Amino acid sequence: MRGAARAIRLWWASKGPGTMWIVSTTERRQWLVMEPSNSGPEALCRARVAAAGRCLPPTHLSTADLMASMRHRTNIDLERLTGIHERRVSDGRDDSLTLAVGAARDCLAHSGHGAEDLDAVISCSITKFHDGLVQWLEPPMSVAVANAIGSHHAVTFDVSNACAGMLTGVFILNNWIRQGLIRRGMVVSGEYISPLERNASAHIRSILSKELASLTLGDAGAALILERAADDAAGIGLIGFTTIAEHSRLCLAYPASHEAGARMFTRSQALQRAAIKDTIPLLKEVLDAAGLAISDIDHVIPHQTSARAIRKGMAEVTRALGGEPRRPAVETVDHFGNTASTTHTVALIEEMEAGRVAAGDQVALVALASGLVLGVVLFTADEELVGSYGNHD
Amino acid sequence: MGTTIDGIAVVGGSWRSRHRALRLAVAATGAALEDARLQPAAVDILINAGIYHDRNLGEPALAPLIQADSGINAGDPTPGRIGTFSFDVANGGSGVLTALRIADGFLRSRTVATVVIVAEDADPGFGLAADFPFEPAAGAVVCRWTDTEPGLVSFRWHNRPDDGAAFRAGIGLRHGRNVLSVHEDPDFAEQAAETAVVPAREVLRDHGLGGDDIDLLVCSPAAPAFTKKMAMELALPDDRIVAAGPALHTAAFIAALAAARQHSRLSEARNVLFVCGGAGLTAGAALYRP
Repeated sequence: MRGAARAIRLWWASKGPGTMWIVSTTERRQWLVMEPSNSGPEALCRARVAAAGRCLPPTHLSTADLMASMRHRTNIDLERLTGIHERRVSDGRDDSLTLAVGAARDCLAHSGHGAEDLDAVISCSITKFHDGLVQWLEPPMSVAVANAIGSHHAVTFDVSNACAGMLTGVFILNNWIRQGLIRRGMVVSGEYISPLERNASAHIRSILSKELASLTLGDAGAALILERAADDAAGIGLIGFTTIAEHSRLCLAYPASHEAGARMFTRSQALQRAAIKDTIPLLKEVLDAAGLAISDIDHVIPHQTSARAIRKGMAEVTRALGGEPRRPAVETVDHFGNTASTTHTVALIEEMEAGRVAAGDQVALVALASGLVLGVVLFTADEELVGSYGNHD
Repeated sequence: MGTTIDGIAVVGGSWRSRHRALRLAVAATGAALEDARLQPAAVDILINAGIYHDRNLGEPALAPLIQADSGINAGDPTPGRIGTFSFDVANGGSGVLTALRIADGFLRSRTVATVVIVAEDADPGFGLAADFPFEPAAGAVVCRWTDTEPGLVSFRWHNRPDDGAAFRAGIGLRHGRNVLSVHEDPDFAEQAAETAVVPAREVLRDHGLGGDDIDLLVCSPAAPAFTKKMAMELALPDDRIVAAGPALHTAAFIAALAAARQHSRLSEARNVLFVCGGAGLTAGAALYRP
């Protein structure tokens, strides 16, 4: 094919550059790619978050035990640094696929729907470990998840967008549902990511190590079902995303050379600085577009990196936006760690199970991921969603 | 009104770029934008559908790196300017068609005006692959909304789960090193075709079309076993079938599009059927009216 590809390239090149160059073709006036947009036709319907599910491996790994297992003596007080007391880890019996399937089944159980009611299944994990620590690239993991839960007619594909993967899937499903292309779909992720933690524990020698962030990771599966909302239902109000790509090399993960699994290298402070700096104007853009103030938001669920980072970020938001959400930002990082693309769903369920989310509450899921991907999903929790977790007004 | 494909480019790998999927993707993205007469700043969404990357990169998605290296709105948010959203889609050999479905959704809702889809695959280099079977190449297309042409009008999908028996690829320890292994069953192309016939027939049925109504079938993979089976099952003469790059992977569909555009065959066609099949087994079909 090499010759054919070159021929096509040459054919293209022979056309030569034109004289008219279009700088912008969009009527979009904001930085974020946002739906609903300010120029589009009226959507046929809204989407709602119909159900959430999660699957947590039973093994608890305390930060004290993790640090005791480090190969080198580091004198790092990780718990004080991150606020993480423990995380769940697979003992090897669960992997990315089983965690995803477990979460998908839990989500279906809370939804009252069967797997055959799903028109789409999107798998969004970073890790795709199956058959031991083999990272599956093909076939797509979504096919295996859909098949395992008995969803035989759904369109399936995988999305990869680091820790923003699930919310990117939500963005796509929301778009399809609003246009009536599908009625109901699932976004699912299984993160068996603790092997990165184990690898890091063998290499970290000091607090300056670029693998330090790997020690915050925990395993979890998570799933969300989105569906067409009734005419008068609130549902998903607004979603906005962007990629600040000049920061795309601040966090990179590769398969380990001689160890099973992968290794991740993060310039954590630079990433945190960029994230806080860029999140504030983008959050304001979302709130302005939705006609809301930060004080109208009941629950802000940020990406769970560390308790210190969440508090610092929220303090900056409060200072810059002149107000704060009705409740403190949700923190589950202390007992689940950073479960990568599943953190928002794991935390949402934690809030619902604790009875802290009421019907009508405004929820903001705030994505922060390698890329640098920033995004916000704004939705109103409804009676059916919170009721499925036993929380009734 | 519909989503149209306004720019197409395919870039083949050279000796220097044979391990540089990212570099190939950036070259293809730039060429497709130039073909569409668009500046990089006009891109609203960038979707990468390629699978095999430099050093088997796992995080972040490759799309942000393509965005950064292509100079597409890569800096911090600036008042009065627009940003770009980038992410990867993986759906084997049907990845580009899946990305077209996603692009069509965001264009149809006018959430955005311009989407770039790029697909690239290359040996990850550094001895990180065992017998990598695909030629290094990248392809990119620019999709926009038009009020004057129907464009993409219909999609259908079909799965036939085989747990990776026909085609599987993964990165795992082998002789003490993490390496990429790709397994393709000799019957893969034929099985992919059997899977792809289902959504292709559904698209035709949706629009009351028969094989005679199809001016072009643009498809991937380009293996003869796939194209011959599609021709036979859909009762299409060989000269209406366009496939390119039998040694390409995710970029093969874009190579087929580029080949179809030669001699104005794509623009002069009334009904173009897109068909892709890949690992899963999963397959998709779409009707395109340029």
